[in-house]
Amino acid sequence: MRRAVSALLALLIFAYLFGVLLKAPIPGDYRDERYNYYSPLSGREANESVPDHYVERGEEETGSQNIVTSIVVLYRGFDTLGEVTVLFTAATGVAFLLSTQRSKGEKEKKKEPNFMASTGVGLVLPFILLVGAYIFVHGHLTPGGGFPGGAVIATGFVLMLVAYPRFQLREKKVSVVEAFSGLAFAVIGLISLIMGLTFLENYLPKGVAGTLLSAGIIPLIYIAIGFKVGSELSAIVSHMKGGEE
Amino acid sequence: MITWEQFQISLAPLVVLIPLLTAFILALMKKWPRVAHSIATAVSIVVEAMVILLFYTVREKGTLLYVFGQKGATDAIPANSIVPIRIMFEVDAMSAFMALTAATVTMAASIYSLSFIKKHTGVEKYSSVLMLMLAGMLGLVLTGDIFNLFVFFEILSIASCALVAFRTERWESGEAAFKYMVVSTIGGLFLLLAVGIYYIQYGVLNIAAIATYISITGATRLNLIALAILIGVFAMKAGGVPMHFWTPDAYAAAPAPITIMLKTASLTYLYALFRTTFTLYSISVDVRTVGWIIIIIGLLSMLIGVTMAIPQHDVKRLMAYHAISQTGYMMIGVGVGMATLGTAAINTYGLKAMEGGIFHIINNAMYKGLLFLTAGALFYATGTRDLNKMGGLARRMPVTTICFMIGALAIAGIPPFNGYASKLLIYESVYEFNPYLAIIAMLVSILTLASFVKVFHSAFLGPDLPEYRKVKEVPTSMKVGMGVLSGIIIAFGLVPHLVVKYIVEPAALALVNQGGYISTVLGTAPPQAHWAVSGGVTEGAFFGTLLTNSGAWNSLLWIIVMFVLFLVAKFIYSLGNPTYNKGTEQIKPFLSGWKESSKSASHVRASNLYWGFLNSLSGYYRPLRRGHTGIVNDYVGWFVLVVSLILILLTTLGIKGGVI
Repeated sequence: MRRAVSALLALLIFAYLFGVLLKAPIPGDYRDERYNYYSPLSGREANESVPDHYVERGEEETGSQNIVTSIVVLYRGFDTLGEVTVLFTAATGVAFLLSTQRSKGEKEKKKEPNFMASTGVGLVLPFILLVGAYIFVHGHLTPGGGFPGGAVIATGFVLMLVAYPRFQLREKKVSVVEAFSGLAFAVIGLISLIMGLTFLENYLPKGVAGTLLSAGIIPLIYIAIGFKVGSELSAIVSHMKGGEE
Repeated sequence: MITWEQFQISLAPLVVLIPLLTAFILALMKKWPRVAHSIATAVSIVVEAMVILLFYTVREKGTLLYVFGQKGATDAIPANSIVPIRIMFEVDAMSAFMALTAATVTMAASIYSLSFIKKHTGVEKYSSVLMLMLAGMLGLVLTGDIFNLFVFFEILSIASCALVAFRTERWESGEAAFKYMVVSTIGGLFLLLAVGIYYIQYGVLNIAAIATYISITGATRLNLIALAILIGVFAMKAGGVPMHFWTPDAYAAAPAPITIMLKTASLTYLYALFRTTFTLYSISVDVRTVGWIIIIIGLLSMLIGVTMAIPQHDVKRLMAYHAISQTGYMMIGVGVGMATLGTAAINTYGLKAMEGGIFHIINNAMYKGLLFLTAGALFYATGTRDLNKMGGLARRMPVTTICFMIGALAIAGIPPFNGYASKLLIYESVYEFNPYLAIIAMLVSILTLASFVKVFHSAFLGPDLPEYRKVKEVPTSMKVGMGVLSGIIIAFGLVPHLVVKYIVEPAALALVNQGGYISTVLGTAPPQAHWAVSGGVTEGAFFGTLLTNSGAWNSLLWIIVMFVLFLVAKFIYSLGNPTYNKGTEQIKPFLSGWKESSKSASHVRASNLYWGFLNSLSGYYRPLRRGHTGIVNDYVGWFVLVVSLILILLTTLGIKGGVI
């Protein structure tokens, strides 16, 4: 009965929302002339929305060839700092919850590592780490960046856990990496504050768009994010597996 | 290099960034947990000082803008664009007011924690996440960007959830944290959907810019959906009935300092609700409908909150239900302001009602915080939260007792404490809007007093129980934490007119003034948003007089009159012939001639106190009890149901010109 009512309610809501969305203005309706007049600067320039601004001026303003990266790191860099913090909080929360439930009593069977798996992982792991690092170092040039790069690095550690049953992450070292990369991100932003600029404003030369050393502080921030995401995801997986003994 | 001017402008981001940086560092200090928490306490005091400076700056300079990563922190619109591109903090008097509340409570909580969590492991993580909660609350109230608001919503939710689970050795912590997580995640996703609705329509994320578009296009169907979702999400996170079910679980399971942080976090969500309705929509929708939706949620919260509190015998669950019921007062006060928005009534009583509601926010944060801290002190000293097991503790814990009395009298709205001033403002102005609302509000106040009489009687009064002979008063840091909040309550109670004049009224005016909020960012505001409310006179001619809507309140005068009456009573008493002698048969309880078997047997336990009341209302309580299932699926179900109801109400009546 309860299930039927819930399902019916959900269906009704879905139908209503779908119906409204069908009649809704298509994305881009905000380019309507009516919105012009409120702007104090109208007349000087026609309609422009935030996405248009990113596409048209992103590269020129930030020096980053990858527009998505310029949005994530500079235009909405403060949000990214927040998201990194969300991940950090989640990792700490997992540590809280699982810290008491370590498998002390039940000793895991001392399984010998599977030969095929360990050899394979040994071969692949350096490349995985390399690809991860490549992705976040080249965040301002190619698709990807700190978050995917960090996730790729974390998969390397997951493979290690799979291949070597006795493999353990040094939690202390991981948490040092975690904290310092987070600090690095915030400090990069704070430096601009101390220099008299606004938080996360670029203060390094932009360079030539498309080269490795370009886009000012973007690569630095993405490297910090890459380390942070990689260490945090690894720490979460390691905690869930049972943690340090 | 940074100058003083720039520093003043940068205060808003700094108060968020400093706790954030501290959190990253503290997580490392596994070997020195005590040092870590001391650092957290110091940082919370520094942040409090900076927030006071921020509040002062906003008073002096008006609404502050801070644009992240742009040349010239205060130029909202870059030179080569016509819309605000980047994330910004927009700090008006209302945001600064909320920041002040949040920072003060955090300071008290972290001082209190210094000895409260001494016995636990993982203190460094606790302090780290506490700092994240502070950053989350401040970010949520200071931001002027709706996606940024979502990010801080997430930080705050996850940090709260982690701290609810802090006492991992107790089963209830895990359960409460899980429920909180499910409810917050679903709320967060709904919030993201609403943000998406704005972005797909207008291509901007700035609150002021969205408000401009909404005031130009009017409330389209999509905007009404977004409004229904936002009201539902924020009312749920603020603990509005019937989406309050997670609150008692989480508040009771968390350690006491975290409970008061959770309570303050729920007030920041309430702020987000007000920001949505007043700044994003304002008069673009039918204000009476939106106002009544808020009022009805508030009314249900008041009534169901307080009636559910009375039968509780877990001291923190009882207080958690009161937290819900007190939130109702704020919703009613500000809801009346919303319902009268754009009409003449806002000048006669609407603004006063809002002032009452907003004043109640800071008062509530202080006295509710104090009460939860005393509950924590009881738990610290006795090891139980069950009121049925307590008794006679006033002998052992005099400071806690006095703090509890201050908090209980303030929450029940007894003069001269601060709760009375804000409730008086609400009663008198809401009475003009709808008399029944004011009468119900007073009734709820009486029931609140009744249930705190129960706590006071069963925990602090009664005979000296043998099991608590060895109980000692709590350590100094906990006393200081409670003392800070008690001091603020007494100060606010003595000079409510100054608080209303300098802190509350600017906040209420800022909240109402949609045009001002928009034009700070965009330079001008569309004509639809141009209408302003002038603040009323709040200060009477005689010193210490707070002008309420139809009357006045002067607590100093009240104290003097009471003192004179006390002297008269004392004089009359001294004329009589005292026959009461200590140490004789007179002081023994009269048990119809039976011998008193033991001290603890003659103590009336908490659950036995109101059995007559509960028994005669059993028809009311039975469905209520059955409704509180404790199943998280039901919690979410209620949330979806409420959002759908709000949506139906809004789409039928909420379009401007509709009638209710």
